[in-house]
Amino acid sequence: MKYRASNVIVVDPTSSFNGKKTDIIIENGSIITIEDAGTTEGDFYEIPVNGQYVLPGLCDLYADFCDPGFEFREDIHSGADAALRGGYTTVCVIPHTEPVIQNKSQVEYVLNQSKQVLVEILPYGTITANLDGKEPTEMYDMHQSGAIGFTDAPYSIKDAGVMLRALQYCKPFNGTIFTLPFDKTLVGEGQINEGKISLENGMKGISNLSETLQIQRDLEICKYTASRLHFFGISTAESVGLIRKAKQEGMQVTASVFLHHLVFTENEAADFDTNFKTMPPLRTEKDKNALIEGLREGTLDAICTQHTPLDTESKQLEFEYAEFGVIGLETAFQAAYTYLGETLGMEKLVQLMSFQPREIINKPLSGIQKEGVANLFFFNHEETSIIETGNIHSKSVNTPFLGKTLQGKITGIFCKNEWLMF
Amino acid sequence: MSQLSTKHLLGIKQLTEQDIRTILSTAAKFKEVINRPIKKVPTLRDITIANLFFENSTRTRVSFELAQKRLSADVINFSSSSSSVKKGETLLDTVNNILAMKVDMVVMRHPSPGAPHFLAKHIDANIINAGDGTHEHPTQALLDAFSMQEKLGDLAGKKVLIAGDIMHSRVALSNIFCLRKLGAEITLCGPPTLIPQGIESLGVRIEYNIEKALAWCDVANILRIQLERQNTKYFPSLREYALTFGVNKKRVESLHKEIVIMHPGPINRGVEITSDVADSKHSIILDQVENGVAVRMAALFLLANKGIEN
Repeated sequence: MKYRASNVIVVDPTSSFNGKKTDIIIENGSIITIEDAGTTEGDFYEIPVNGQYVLPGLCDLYADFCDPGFEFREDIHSGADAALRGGYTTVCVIPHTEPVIQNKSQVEYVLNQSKQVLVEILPYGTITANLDGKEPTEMYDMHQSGAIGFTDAPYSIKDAGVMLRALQYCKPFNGTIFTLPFDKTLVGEGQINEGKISLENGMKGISNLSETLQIQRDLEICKYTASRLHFFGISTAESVGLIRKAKQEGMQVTASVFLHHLVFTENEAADFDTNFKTMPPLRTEKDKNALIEGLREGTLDAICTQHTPLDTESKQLEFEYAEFGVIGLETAFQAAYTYLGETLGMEKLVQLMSFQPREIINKPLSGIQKEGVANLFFFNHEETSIIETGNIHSKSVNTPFLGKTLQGKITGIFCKNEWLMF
Repeated sequence: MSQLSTKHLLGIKQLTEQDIRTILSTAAKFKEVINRPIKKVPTLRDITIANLFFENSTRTRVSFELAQKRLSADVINFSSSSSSVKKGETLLDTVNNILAMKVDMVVMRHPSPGAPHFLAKHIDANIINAGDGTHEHPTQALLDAFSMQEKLGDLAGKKVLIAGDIMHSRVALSNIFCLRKLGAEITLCGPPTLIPQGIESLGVRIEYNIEKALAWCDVANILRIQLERQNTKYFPSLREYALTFGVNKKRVESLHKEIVIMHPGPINRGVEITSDVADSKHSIILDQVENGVAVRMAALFLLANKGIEN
C-alpha cells in the first residue's frame, strides 16, 4: 500500500524541502517520494491532510508512564495514546515505577511493552537501588539491555559521592546521567516558588538557590569526571547562566526545560489550584523569559513535557497535601505553538522537541526527505482545541491547560509503518 | 446597613478597605450588645453554622461559638486532628457530609494554607476562615485592628510593630494585609530565620533590634513562638530567643513613652513576653479577647445576610 499526503507544508530545518508545499508518498514505513505539490501521479491511498503542516515525530525526554505499579494513573497503552495525539513518536520514561526500573528484566519489560504500541518507549534505569539515593544499580547491564540513560527523577541525587561515582561508572560505555537538579535540604517543605505568591499565601517557598546550588555542585563533579550529564527541567534565570558557562568551557553538558515553565508563572498558584503545583515550581516572569532566551540562543537543548499523571485523589486536595506534577504529552506541541510560536518559530520548536532531544539520547532521526523513515505528524494550525477533562486521553486529567483554548490541532501521525488520524 | 464585597471571609487579602471598615463599625455595635444585661439577639435565628476545627483551638473556637450563640444561630461543632483526616476521609467528603444536613455557614480552622479557598471552590455555604496553617487568620486581624482603633483612633499613619515568629504566623500575614489597607506603618522584628525572604515587598520594614523596634512603635503586637509548626530548628534555644527578642519590663520601661502591648495568645510567658509586661497597664490582651466576640458576631452577621439575599 502506498500512502500519499498531498499539498503538505514541510517544517523540518534538516530537509531540503523545508517550508515547501509537497506531496509525500510513503510505502513500507519509508518516504519513497517527496516532490513539489501537484507533481505526483499514480494510485495512492490519500491521507486527508491537504494544506496542513507535516513535521518530524516529536521526542520527549521526560515522562512518567507509571507502569508497572501505578496503572490507575497511566499505563504504557494510555500513555502511548496520549503521546500519539500530541505528535510524539518517541517517549523516554523515568523509572519512577513500582518496582522501580533498576535491572535488566525491568528494562526489557518496558521495551517489550513498547513493541505493542506505535510509540517508541525508551526506559531510563535508576542510578540508585529503589531510588534510595545510596546503593548503585547495575547500570552497565541495563545499558546493554537498552536503557537510554540513568536517572533518579523525580528525586535529585542528594549525596555528592553518589553523583561522582555514577558519572565515573558510566564513562566506559558512554552512558549519560540525567538529573532533576534541586537540593532537597533547601527545598524543605516548600510548595511553590519563593516569592510574592508564597509570601501572600503563607506557604514555604522553594528558592532559586535550591536549584542553582545543586547545578553548581553537579557541574563541578562533572568537570572532574569529564562525563556526560543532562539537567532535566531547569527553571531559573541563574541556571541558564550556569549552563551557558559550562558549555562555553566545553563540558559535555546538556539541559532541558519543561514546557509549563515556558508558559506559566508562580502567579497561577495564587488561588491554590493544584494543577499548577509542580517540581521545580513555576517561577517568575523573569525566569520564564530567561528560559525562552536560553532556548532561542542554543544554551538549552530541549523542551520536555514532564508528563506526570496523578489521579484525582492525589490532586483534588488541600494544596499542601496534593502531589507535585502535571500531564503534558497531549498538549505540549499545541501549547508551544500557541505561546512560543511567534518568539521561537515552528522550525526551532521542531529542533527543540524532536531533533535535539534525539541527539541527547543518541537516536537520530532521518527527517522528512526521500528515503527517510516515515516518522512524522500532521498539524492543522487553523483549528483550535479546548482542553477539557472529557477530551483527555491520558488516564489522569491534571493538566494546567484545563479550560484553555490552544491554537492548532494534531490531525494525524505516521510511525512504525502505521498511521492514525484523529 | 452596607454589605461586604465577598460571600466568604477567606482572608483579609480578598477584602476591600470598605469591607474592613464595615466589619469594624458593625463590631462596635455588637460590642455594645454584648455589654447589655441581656446579651443575646435573634439576628441569626434559623441559620445553622458548623464549626469545623481540624486543628487544636480553644480561644478561637470558644469565641466563635459564643458569637454564634449571642446571635441565636444553631451551632454544631466538629473537631478532628489533621492527621486522621489526612489518612482517612478527604476534607471535601467530610464537609459535604456535614453540609448534606443543611448547614448554612462553615467556620473552619485547618493546618493547611488555602484549605478554605479549596473548599470555597466546591461548596455553596458561606465560609469563614478561622485560621489556615501559616496563611491567614482574618478575624484575628480584624479584632486586632478593632482593639488598636479603640486605643489609638484611626490607624492611618500609626506605627505597628509585629514581633516574633513571622514565618509560621497566620496572624502576622493577616495583620499586615489589614493594617496596610487601613494605612498603618508596619515593622517586623524577629530572628532572620523566622522572617520570610523578601517580605518587604508586602510594604513592611524589618528591624532586627527589638529595643529599636519598640522605641519606634505606637503598638507592639507580640506573636507567639509557634514551636508546634516548626519542624526545623530556626533558633538555638528559647532562652536565647527571650534574651534577644523577648519583650520584658526593662525594655518597655526604658522607652520613656507609652506603647500599647498586644498578643494574640496563647502566651508563652517568659519567652516572647514576660508576665510583668503581659499583665501590665500597657497590655490590652484581654480587651482583644472581648473584642474577638464582637468582631466575629459582625462577620457572621454580615456574611449570613449576604447569603440570605443570594
